[in-house]
Amino acid sequence: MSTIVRVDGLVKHYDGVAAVDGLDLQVEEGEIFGLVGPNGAGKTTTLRILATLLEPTAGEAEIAGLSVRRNPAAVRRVLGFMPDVFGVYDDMKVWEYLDFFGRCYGLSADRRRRMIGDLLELVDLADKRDAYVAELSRGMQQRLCLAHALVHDPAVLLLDEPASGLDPRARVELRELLRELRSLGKTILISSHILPELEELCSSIAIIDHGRVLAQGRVAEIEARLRLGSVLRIRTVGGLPTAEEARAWFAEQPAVAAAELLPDGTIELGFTGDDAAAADLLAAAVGAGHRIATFARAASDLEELFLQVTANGLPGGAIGGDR
Amino acid sequence: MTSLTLPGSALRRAAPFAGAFAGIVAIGTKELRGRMRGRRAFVVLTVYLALLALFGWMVYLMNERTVVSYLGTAAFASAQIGREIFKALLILETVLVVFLAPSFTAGAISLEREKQTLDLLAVTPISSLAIVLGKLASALAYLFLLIVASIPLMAIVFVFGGVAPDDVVRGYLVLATTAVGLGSVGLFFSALARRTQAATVLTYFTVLALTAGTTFVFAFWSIMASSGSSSLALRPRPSCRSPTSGGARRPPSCG
Repeated sequence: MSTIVRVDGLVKHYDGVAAVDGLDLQVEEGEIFGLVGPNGAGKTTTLRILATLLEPTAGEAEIAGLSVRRNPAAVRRVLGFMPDVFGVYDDMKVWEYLDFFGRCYGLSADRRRRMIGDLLELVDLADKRDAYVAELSRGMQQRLCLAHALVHDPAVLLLDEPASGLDPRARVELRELLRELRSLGKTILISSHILPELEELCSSIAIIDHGRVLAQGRVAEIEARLRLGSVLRIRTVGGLPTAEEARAWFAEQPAVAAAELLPDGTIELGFTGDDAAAADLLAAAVGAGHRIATFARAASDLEELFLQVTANGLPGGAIGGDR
Repeated sequence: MTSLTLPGSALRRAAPFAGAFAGIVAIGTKELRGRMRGRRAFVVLTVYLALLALFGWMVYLMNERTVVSYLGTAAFASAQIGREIFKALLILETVLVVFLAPSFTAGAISLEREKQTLDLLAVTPISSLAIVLGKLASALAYLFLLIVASIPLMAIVFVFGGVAPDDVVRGYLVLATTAVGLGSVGLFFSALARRTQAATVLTYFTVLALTAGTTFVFAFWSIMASSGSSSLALRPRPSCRSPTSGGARRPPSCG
């Protein structure tokens, strides 16, 4: 597999405010790649730069080896884009809608006819061929918009928040559809501010905040690293002096990589052991006379990682965007 | 080998134009599909022609009374009626074009922006030029349909005489040029303004300046030029014996 989307040190300023601030990404061919981050993290800006709709202030972005700055016309032929908010030409019929975009890509009449049939079958709108676009439900319009991004059979799909505004059933259908597209060999770059939405679907993710990548890698890889570098939060009874005492004790234990006392009295441990090791640690601490009020492992799913990473930066440097 | 490379390079040079043309066709087809869908476009065309015919007939009746009563020969009167009908129909069509051409284009691009469809277009390889030309062509196509459909009606002036075929051709050329020009004004503001409302206001303001404004300036200029630095303007009341005012147009106060 080779890298099909490459973003190097991308910067985009709006009136002096950095929306994207030195962002790096590599997406392998055939992946479903998730861009996760809170609202305003720079996901949409990044996707719009990749879609040749925005000029970057600095940095470089390439799709299939083509620069979005120097060769936008060629880039447009290899990518399909679905924006986060989009309108539809509601005075058109479904097949006319796809026919129009087929014409925009200069497809022959014969190829357009075949493409319309295939795509409507793919997005499950074949029975709506002659319906007006305005009559479709939101989920159907979303699927039609996805179909429109596929008329020229692009290698890369950029989908900005495709599941927003969809009901759960439509979300499941969309997820199935994206899996099917992946099996057809498409590379899909998808953004969301809701992590669980991507966790199941994506092979790799990048966590973005303030215009930078905080963590990037395969989903399993990131989870494994997180488990290795999980955080234990401990509160003791008796105020800061006893907490400092406890911190010093914990720092000397095996499996504890780092021990830090926060100003509010919470001890945070960089812990490298599994659940059994954590139980042993707790027993030893109680045996050593420390009065433990809470002893909790930070949840080890990606949601928690996401919250940690976007709120405090990387926990103990355990996760790095070092690919 | 040179004979092989030559067509290749010519083709490559022609490719952008072919692409632009395909884009214009794509946009034009889409726009016209929307505009001509259903019965509306044809009902509008029919009503328009009926009103135009009614107007022409009324002008004919009016002129029949006035012209025939004080002009000598029947042939001369007929030619006079022909000229009057031609003038009236052409003025009416010009007014229609002045109002309709900008209204067809003033929303062409700003509506895409408002309905958030412009991004979808912008990521296709279609060029901005093709979008603009396609929009203009489709907006004007319907207007040209209205104009062309009035030609048979206009041809009735040949029954009366007084108007040569080349007069009619010239009249329609001016009409078409006006449509393209004012349609372009609307399209310009549609691309410039963020909202259709603003684009429409700016468009009609400009059209007003181009029509009424230039007429006023022309009138102002010709009067200033012909009267020169006459001391007439300094007099408090217009003279009753002014050589330009005919007997019938004498102000009532001059008794």
